[in-house]
Amino acid sequence: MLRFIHTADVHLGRPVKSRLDMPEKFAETAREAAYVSFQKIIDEALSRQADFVLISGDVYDQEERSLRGQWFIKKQAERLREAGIPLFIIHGNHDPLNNKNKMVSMPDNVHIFPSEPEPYFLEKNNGEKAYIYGFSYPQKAFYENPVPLFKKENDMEAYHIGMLHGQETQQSDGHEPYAPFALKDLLQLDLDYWALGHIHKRQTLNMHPAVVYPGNVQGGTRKETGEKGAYFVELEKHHTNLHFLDTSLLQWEKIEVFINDHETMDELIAAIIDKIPAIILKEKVYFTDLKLTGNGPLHEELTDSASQQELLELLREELVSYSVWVDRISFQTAPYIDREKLKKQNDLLGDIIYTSEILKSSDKELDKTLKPVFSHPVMKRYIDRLTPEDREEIITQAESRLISSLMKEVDQ
Amino acid sequence: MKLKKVHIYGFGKWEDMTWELDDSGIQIFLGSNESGKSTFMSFIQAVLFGFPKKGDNQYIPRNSNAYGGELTFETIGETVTVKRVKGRRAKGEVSVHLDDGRNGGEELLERILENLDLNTFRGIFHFDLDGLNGLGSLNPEDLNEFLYDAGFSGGSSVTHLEKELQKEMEQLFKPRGKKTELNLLINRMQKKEQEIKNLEERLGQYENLKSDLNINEENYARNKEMLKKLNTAINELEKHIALLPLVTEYRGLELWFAEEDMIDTFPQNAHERLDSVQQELINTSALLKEETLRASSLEEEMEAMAVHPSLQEIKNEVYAKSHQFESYKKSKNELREQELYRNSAVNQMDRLEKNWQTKGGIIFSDIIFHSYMKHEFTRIKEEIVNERSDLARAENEKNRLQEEAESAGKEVERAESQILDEETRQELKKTSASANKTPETEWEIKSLKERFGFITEEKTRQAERDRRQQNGFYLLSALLLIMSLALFNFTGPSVVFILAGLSAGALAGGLWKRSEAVRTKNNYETQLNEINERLDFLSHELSADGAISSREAERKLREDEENRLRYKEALHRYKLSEKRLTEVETETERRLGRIAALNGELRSWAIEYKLPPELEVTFCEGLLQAVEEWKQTESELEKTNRKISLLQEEQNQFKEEVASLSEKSGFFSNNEIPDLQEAVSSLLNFVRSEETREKDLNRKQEKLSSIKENISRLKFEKEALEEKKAALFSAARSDGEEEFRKRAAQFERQQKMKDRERDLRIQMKTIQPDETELKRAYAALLDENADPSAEQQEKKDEYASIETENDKVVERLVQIKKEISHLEKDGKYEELQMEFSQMKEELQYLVKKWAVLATGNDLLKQVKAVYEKERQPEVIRETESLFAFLTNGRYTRVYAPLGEKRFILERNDGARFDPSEVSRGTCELLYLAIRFALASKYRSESSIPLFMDETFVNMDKLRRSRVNELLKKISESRQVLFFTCHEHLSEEVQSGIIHQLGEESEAAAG
Repeated sequence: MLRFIHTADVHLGRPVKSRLDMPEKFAETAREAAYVSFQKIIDEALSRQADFVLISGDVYDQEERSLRGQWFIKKQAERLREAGIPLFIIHGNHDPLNNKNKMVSMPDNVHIFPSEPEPYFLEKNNGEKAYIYGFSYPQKAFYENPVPLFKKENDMEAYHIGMLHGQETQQSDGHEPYAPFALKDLLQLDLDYWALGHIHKRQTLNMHPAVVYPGNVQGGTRKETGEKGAYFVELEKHHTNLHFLDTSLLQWEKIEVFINDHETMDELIAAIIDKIPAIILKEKVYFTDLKLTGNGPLHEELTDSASQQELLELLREELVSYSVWVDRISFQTAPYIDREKLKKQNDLLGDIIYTSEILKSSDKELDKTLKPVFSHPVMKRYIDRLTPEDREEIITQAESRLISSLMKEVDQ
Repeated sequence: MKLKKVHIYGFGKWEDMTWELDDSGIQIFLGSNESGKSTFMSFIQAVLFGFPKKGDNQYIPRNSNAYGGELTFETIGETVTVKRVKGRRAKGEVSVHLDDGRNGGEELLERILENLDLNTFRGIFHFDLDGLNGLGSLNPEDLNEFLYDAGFSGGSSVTHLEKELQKEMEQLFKPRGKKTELNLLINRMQKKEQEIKNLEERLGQYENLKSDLNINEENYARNKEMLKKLNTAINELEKHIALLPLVTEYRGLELWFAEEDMIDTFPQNAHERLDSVQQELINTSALLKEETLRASSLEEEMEAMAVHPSLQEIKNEVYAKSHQFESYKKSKNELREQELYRNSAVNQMDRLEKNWQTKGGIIFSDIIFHSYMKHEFTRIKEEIVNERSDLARAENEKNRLQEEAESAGKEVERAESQILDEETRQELKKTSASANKTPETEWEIKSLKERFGFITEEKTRQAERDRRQQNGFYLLSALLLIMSLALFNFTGPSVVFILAGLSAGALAGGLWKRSEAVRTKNNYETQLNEINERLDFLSHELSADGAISSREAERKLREDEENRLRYKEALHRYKLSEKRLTEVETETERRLGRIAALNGELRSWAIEYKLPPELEVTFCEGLLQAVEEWKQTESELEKTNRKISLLQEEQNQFKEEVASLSEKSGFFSNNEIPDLQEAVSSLLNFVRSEETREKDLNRKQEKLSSIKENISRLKFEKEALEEKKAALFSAARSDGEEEFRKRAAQFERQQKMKDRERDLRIQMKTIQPDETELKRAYAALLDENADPSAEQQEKKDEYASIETENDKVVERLVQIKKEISHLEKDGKYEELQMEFSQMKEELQYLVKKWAVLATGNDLLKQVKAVYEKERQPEVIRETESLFAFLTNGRYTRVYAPLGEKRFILERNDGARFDPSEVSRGTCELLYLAIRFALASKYRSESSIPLFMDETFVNMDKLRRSRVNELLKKISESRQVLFFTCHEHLSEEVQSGIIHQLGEESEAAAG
């Protein structure tokens, strides 16, 4: 039985994407999070006396300037070296194999696969043998089908493990389609384990043989929610055990709260805080992306930007003690209306809904509206492109804002 | 829609109120201020659209649980009753009842109202004072907007919202702004980016630093190597410097040796050795001479001394004699003593014999004396003595018995005389019989006395017991009293009273016991008196009873009995004495016979042993003692005589021996012997002096032989020295001392030079142990131009310069390494990246926020554009016709230029005005025209009533009459509810029914 750790997408040096004004306590945790997580993975490798450790690409977040990351990997590799544990690395799209990430020389227990795939032969003290196959990206953009690059050695007794950084073609969650491959092609190669990397969401594409994305070691954006870490793999010829090791110190969580049943702001805050203890572990720090939805008496108040800011500050203050940082609140509440009904009305509100729906159907109009900012000579350099979801959200919120405001006026 | 009935269960100040409305067009509701007009309005809205939400005035009745009510109205040919009461939601629970029997809830109501919502209802169908009043305070621009907005929805300010959005957008972003949030953030991001760039540049240096590091490390290694070499050279030169003087001297020595005639071998320490040999020779010769002289003188001395030839023999004898002389002296003394003893013994014997010559000549020497003879005598003598003493005792006994018998006889006589005769005795017996009863009386007395004693004791005991009991009672009483006093402070008086009562009881008990005791005592005393009286009587009776004669007679009888006994005893004693006397006399005679026999024995004994017979036994005893003594002395004397002759023999022999010895020694002649003692001591002296001389001679002999030994040794030594000297000369290959000494000096000089040479070699070797190196250095240093010091200095200078250079390299290395390590470990870059990413996130967030606002704004604009294009024309046409009616044809046209958000009015003369240019009254009419137009153009199939809420109160009468006229016109097709507190206004309307609000409300309030 081989016992090893499979990790990928360490992304050392990748900033955790959060908003400003975070207390230093959280900021520090965020800065160090990937380092700490990886160090804990190495701790596990040592304490479990793993046979080896695999990193399936994207060790460093950036092609260049990864000095600290390299130095850190070197230090961790030295720890493994003392215990006689080899470390296998392939480089991915974030850290393709070039001189920039070879500046710091690694100890001799580190094997970095070259850009031309080649097997690495390994024999354990008890005589068990393993071939590890892998290659590093020679440059950032690698669009070739990687499957033909793997040539299995003719050794029936040995274990065969493939390391591959790339995109399974069925997976489409915003990752660049580098080294695209199909699961069935991998399975045809008849290896015992596929140590994949690149996709940040942890998933097992196939169980026999195991084809595994361990996910990244640390959630970097509010979309990378939940526990993060590595897999401790116990590999036998016809059976594979995967133990997930949760090593991330900082965990992103989405919280959605319906405002329907809450008539006052205090009630709402209490309801939000009530949701917190369900997710927290003492030793972690949680970054939350709070979403307020539904309609109800509080909606009008929540459309006011001063109130929004106030709520955010209040919650941040309240939740700091739970080691929870409210990164943002997404106000997606709607006025207490029957939108479909309003739409049919031949009046202002009906016209607003009608118009907003026309706006949603075409990007052009919105682009024109947003041009002042998105085409601003300085600003445009820093602003990310809007995703379709963003656009939809913007329009929905704008519509909601108009309707709420107009209805509120009438009420007064 | 036509309102028929309003029934309030409870709403605000109203409880259970009903208003019926008729078919006439305008329904007037009259009531003073605060009479509840607005409550009434709110009630209608609440039933149709829901109760007001929390925070607003909900009109919940204070005095009643009933909340809500119902409205009945006709619409599109149906009569509908809508009832709303308190429900689960704040909005309330609604139920709809149609006259065709259908029932329903919220949904049905909405369908009936054709989805009309509260906002639209208020904006279009509810006319309050505010709309008109507001016109007055508006500036021209706002007036335009207000009128324009009124054309949209009756009242809501679309323009206001537009402005709000605009303002918020501008807070976030202005294209050329500096202070807006986004602009500020961008500014910060640019700065942060620059910071990152700077740091990146620094990180870019990493590779340069690495190659720099390599170069410097190589330099460092090279320099190190050079320094090492230089150091070796300097050290080598250091040795050369030290070698230079040594080499020079060594070379000089080598030259000297080349010229010198070298002596290969020569005795060591030649001078000293020769000197010492010669000195020893002189010493030895002198000693030899001295010793020879000493030997000859000693020999002479010894010849003068001689000793007695047979000294050894004489000496032993003399010592023996001198020793024996002491025993000789003792023997002499003993002889004298023995002679003295002999004389005294002779005297003793004579004296003993003479003493016993009184009874004829007793010759002691004839008497046969031995121990058996003595023993025989002793036996006879003792037997005689015993018999004689027994005889004497028997005589004494006889005498005593005779006396006893005599006194016993006398006693018998005396006792016989005292005995009474029989007559007298009988008489006396009679007299004594009368006194027999007295013992009974005596027994009674005795028992009485015992009883008396018992009673007295009993009395004393009883008295004691009583006293104790009394004291107990008193004590108890006192205790209880104290308790009662103490408790008085703590408990109720009842307890105290009880205790006090108990105390009194105890006291009473004590007193009763006392009287009881007195009674008992009296009782005892009475008893005692009785006994006493009885005792007196009895004793008196005893003494009085019995005459003297009876007692006396008895006594005499007793005496007589005694006398008779005494007589019998005396008689017995007398007889016994007589018998004993006879026995003693017999014994005396037997003893006398025995004594005579013994005397005969004694006599035969004396004859047997040649003693004079007939001697008294005692005399015989004394003689025997004397004979014994004499016999002993005689044997002693014989012994003494033998001893004396022995001693005399010994002494004579000694004397002869001494005399012969003296002769032998030649010391004395036979005649000259003076005294034995003197002779012995002279002999001794002679022997001793001879011995001394002998010893002296022996010593001298020893000395002489040692001297002779010395002499022979010295001679040998002298020869050896002579040989040694010759050997020295031969070893030095010299014939005489002169030559020897000369060569010795030369050899010594050469040796010194050689030592120096060796010394130099060692020094050089110490400095440079390597032989080849040394040879090379030697050769180099012999060159006259050699200057190692200068050379070394040169190297040292070179060393210093390289060292300085290397220090710089090291410094640079440290710097580079520090920078490299800093770059490797520094988290600053990531911190900046993180900050930048946060800013980016923030930017994204703000941009989105801005985008929402911008989109909202845009939406609003589009809606307005649509409105202007599609709906406004219709409303404006209606407005135009109504406005013309209201102004009585004065204004004929109303325009709304596309996109200008304003109206233009055209007068019947063709002049055009902006609303701000006409009078306020005209404006008010325009506003009403717009509102009526809006209401009339509302899409609804049923005509929703208009609610005129004190709308025209400030309007001038002329215009009001035009409005009223219009209202009447409108009321033909649409119900109008007219609320006012002014009676004249209600009169102006000229409607059928006037519903009073005030009175009823007051009544309700009352």
